[in-house]
Amino acid sequence: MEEKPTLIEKRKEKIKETMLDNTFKEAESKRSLHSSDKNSEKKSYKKTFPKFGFVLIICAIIGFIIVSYVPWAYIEYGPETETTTVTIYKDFKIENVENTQIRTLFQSPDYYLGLSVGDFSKTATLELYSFISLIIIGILITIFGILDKMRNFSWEIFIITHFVISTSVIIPAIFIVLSVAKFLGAHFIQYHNTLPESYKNITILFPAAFILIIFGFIIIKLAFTMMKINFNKIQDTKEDEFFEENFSSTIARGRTR
Amino acid sequence: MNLEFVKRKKKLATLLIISSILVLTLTSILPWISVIEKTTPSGDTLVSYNIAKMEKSNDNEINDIQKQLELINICFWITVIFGMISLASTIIYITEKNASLAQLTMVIGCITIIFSILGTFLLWTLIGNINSMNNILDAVAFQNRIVTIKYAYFPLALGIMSAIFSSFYVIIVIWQLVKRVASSAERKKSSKKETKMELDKPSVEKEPEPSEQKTTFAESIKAEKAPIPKIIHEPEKSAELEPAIEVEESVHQRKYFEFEKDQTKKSDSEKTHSKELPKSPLFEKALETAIEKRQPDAGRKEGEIKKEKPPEKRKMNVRCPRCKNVFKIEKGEKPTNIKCPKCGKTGKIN
Repeated sequence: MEEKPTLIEKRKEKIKETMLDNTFKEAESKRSLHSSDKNSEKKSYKKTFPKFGFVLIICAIIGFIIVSYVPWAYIEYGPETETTTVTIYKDFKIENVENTQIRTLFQSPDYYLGLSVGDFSKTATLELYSFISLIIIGILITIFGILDKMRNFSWEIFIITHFVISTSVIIPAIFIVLSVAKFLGAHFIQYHNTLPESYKNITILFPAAFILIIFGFIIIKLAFTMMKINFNKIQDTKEDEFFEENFSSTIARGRTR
Repeated sequence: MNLEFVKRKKKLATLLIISSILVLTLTSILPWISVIEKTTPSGDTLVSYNIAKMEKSNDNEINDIQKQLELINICFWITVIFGMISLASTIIYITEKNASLAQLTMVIGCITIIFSILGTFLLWTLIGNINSMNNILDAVAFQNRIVTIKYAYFPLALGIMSAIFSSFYVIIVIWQLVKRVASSAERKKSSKKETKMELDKPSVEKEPEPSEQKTTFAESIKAEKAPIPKIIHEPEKSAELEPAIEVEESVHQRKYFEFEKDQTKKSDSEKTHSKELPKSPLFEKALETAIEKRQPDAGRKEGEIKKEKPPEKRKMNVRCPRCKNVFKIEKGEKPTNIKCPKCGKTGKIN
């Protein structure tokens, strides 16, 4: 009967094995038998300058243009032979001749569409603030990129900071969507509610609101994509590390057997 | 680190945020109630109200509904914010930079379950309250003889989804934390047992700590007090790659140290080399036997590789940055000088 090895003997054996492993690895690397593994060891996360900041600034500029120059309401009414078209811009600036009938649509105490004249200016201001905050976040990301070039942060700090800033983009993007959601709601309501007879054959569209909602969702999608890219990069790096830690010695042994 | 756990956690947090954003959007867009109003002499008409129209209403009941909707919005806003914190915790956790911060943010992210369930519950009660009110009905999106779909059901469905995602998130986070705590407790127990065993047997030689195991063989030799491993042959076990290092103090080791000191004094170039691995005939011999034992044909292979395989030259296409001409070159292991055949621009490829 063979005697079972004690715990200390086992541990001793383990230590011996690890020491031999280390020596063997060094010997291999010194004699360049493991040249192919060198490349994999060097593989690590490569920091690149964050371009997302520029993308956000560009998005915000486009947003400013949409808020300022795209009509907030486009109204067509009247009999087929004499249709009148009214275009309303931000702050309720009516482009065509001042139309009292349209004004009452948004001023009467019934608020047929749930929108008031004040909503046009308030929402536009909110949108502008949201885009300004996007520009600030964009500038922050760019400054962080420049600081990284100067101070060379560790890749973990770089990726965590970049990820957190990218995540914070979601908040102004939700504001962009929600502040104009009432215009889309008004569009829904006009199909449910019957307007007074004076507004017969009326068609109301809210182009700026539609575009801004889509734009807001695009910014949210962009933020998620950035997060996904960061996450995938870090995951690949960690998977490589994990593979090297757990399987590199096994491969070396497998070759000899 | 459990990568599968991180992936799941990230996915759940993302789904939670998306569903909460959709709840917020639908709450603001969709008409919630239809109020019976006697506007025309011919009969009653139904007027649909969304949250913006409710705000402007003078009716107290409608204002109450609007306030409840605002509360629901706040709940889902908080869910979004905590969902973002949980997303950030994922990245902190995976980088392994600050484990305690990662765990803290993970636990903070669990608060989403409270607000998502609260928001969903409020939505559910709101639908019930609207049904019990006089002159106020739920706004109908689609009506059939069999089915009636109300607008309020869409945010409710999304709210239930966000509650499910948040509960799954909490379950996996708690499961992971419990696993971690259990494994750390086990590790502590085993380390305590080992130290006890070592104390009981003082005759046993001191062995390197687990943290020291990672240090290289050469470094361990360099340290003056460290035991020097001596590699001996074990022909029976060699096929199975069993380690055969005996840790012992001997006359050979002392001789080795003296020899090593002489060697380091001799030349500066050898000094720099010895930082990585000490070069001495005794050590080289020991190392060779170890390599032969673990990889019997390693030495032979090395020689063969050197003889049989001259440095390979790779053919590759290169695009000239000046004239954009694409031409073929042969690249060796060393940096190669190249010249564009078209414009004559020279460059170097590493």
